[in-house]
Amino acid sequence: MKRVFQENRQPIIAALALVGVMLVLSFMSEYFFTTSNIFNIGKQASINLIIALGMTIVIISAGIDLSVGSLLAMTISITAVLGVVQHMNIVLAAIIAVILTVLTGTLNGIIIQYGRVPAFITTLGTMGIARGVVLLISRGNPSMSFPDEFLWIADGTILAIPFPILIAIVMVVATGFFLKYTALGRSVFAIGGNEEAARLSGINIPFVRIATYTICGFCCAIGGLVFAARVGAAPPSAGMGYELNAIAAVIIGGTPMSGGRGNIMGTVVGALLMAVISNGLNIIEVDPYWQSIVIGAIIVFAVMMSNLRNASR
Amino acid sequence: MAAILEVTGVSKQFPGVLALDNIDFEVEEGEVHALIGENGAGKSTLVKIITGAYQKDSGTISINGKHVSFATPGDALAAGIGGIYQEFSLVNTMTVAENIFLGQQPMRGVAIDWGRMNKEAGELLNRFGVNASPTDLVEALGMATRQMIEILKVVHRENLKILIMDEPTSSLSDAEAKILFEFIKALKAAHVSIIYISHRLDEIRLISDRVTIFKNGAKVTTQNADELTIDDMVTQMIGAELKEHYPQKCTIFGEQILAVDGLSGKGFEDICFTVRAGEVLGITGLVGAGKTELLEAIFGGTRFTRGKIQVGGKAARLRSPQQAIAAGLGLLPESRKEQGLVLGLTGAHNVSLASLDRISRPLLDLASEMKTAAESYSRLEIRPNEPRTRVVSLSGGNQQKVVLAKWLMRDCDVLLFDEPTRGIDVGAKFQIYSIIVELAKQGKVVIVSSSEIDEISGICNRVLVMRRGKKTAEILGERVNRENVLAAISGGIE
Repeated sequence: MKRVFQENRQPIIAALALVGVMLVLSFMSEYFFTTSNIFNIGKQASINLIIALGMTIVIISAGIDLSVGSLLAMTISITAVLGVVQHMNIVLAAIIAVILTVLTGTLNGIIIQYGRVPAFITTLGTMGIARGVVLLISRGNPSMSFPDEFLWIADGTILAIPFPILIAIVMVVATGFFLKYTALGRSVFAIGGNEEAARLSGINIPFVRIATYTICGFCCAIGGLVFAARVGAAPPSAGMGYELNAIAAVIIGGTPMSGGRGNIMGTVVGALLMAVISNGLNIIEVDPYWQSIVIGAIIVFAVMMSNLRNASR
Repeated sequence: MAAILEVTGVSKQFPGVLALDNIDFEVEEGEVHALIGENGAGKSTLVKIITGAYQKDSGTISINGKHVSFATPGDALAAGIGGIYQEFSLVNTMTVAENIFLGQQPMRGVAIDWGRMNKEAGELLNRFGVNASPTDLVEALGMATRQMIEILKVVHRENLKILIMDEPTSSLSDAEAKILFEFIKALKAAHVSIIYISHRLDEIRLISDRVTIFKNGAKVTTQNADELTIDDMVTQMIGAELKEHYPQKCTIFGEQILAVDGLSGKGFEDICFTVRAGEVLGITGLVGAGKTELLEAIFGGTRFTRGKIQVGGKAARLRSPQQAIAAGLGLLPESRKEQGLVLGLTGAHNVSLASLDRISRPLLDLASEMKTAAESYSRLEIRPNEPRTRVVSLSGGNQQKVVLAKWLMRDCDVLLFDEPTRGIDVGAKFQIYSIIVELAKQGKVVIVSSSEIDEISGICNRVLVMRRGKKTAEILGERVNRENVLAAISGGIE
């Protein structure tokens, strides 16, 4: 019991903070604890959470992916260009978009592994390249609007639960399962913790590394579809700054940037905490510019709490 | 001679363990005072308290009769107490001179006086016969040279009265250790007292004046070194008498399992040998002989340029550790922290790391993983006996046993051990020896690469001596003993 707490100190602190913030908000606004607002928070959190899942895997492997926002935009724009402008079947268009986005993630991994370019640099590059591709193919035109049936991805419900929330839940479970119960998931921890020891234990480093960025690309693609359906259009600026939100959720959740450790439930709490705070600040009518300041302060504070406690031991 | 350092009634409690229990200890001027004990016995803790890296809970420390209390190692250094520790504290990306003068650079106005710094460092290197230039980057130097730089760095500090050396020979070959011992004698002559921590009991007898033995945080005894035999020391360290130091060697060999023919690569050249099932092959030589490079190349960790390897009579393609493991090989690497373990993972996860394919069905069978890990923990007596604990918190000997457990789980036919007992305590050492011999008796091939002549002659059926990447001698069967191995190694020196 004690060990469980020590090993998960930061996610537990974040979860307590989440409960605390929710309690405070429910006193400040009657509207906060309504079903529609809770679902609203869930939908708000879902896109960031879906991306943050991929980011968690990448960060556990001691990598980083700055291109997630641009990859998300890539899915949206390719779906729009093929499905709306070229009048392709929207499902087929979406599938092609997802595949191309995933392949871009794979390309990140290949460049990092075989080109020996640090992950930070590689994904900084693809962040720019993918954004450029988005602007090129959409010619900067945000007015492409998706057909109504596509919008179901965001507006539909199953058993009264909004579909984006269900997608996020399924992906959380799948990611947690992947990390705990598959050899590949375990290998992600191993290469993040000590790549040389992993290599000398026979782990196929290139395969594992490329897989992490591929999975991250897949998460971006799914996030992109949810985003497109929510907005109903394909703004070329979609997903700008999302890499920071995703990294923030991972860090608040207690997964260290140094790799080798990580926690999916922490990432869930991190993404929810960010969504609740931004929703709460909206409800109590705080200037939206403050949101960024608050989230930034929370990231620094969360890591500071955890590290100061570690140092005092 | 007067006591320069007096430690009286010092205790230190860590969460859950009393690391030091009411310790009395004194060091005289110009004496080499050895501290011995198993890992976790309290030697390092005491030293860290003396130098201010840890704070004592109770007791007093005095230097030349005056009570002192150091808040940081920097304070201790200012008072003339400095140490070199198991882990080097050199900044690898800086030059030799920069390292020696770190924090005390000669200045000209506000700028570092590089000319003077390099000149003074050069004089220091010359005086002690260290073969390095002040402008060499530390990362370009060998382990032995780094060690000497580390010592010079401490010695250079003015007015050094007490030097603490923690396992100074663990990364040195026997010949290099001898050079170090000469250096220690020179320090003694200059009235420097030395607190010397080592697991190598033969060298303790060789160089120290007095020996203090620790066990479980308590002092067992302080005695003159010439009154103690190695058996006495071992007995008092582990509390029970170790009758047989080395296990009985296996003498019945089976078929030839591994054949290495004309292997050349970076650091070794034209190496040939064969090993039969049940045989323990030793590879020894000075540091830099190419032992580690050879083992890594056989294991596919690095590429070799020429030659052939046969495993079980068939030509094997060992281009990566993955292929080597598939062919039945396992490598216990030289550096357990950097190459052997993923420190942030639990013991169980480290044990299964090389066998993930075997516990994927297709999902990881966590129950059987934990069962195997628990069995290894019991068999190898890994402490604490808790496979869910992250290995980062284990002592060196226990960490090494976890690496060993990893390859036991894989059930390899050919095991390559690179310096398997470096820096670990006597109890764990002999456990590892008995496992090695046991594996051989099960019909495995074991190759042990080591600079420790004692263990090479104690457990190997056959010994290959290397020098500068080439095989210079092979010693067989009855002829494998300390004298012959030593002669073969030193015979190679021109």
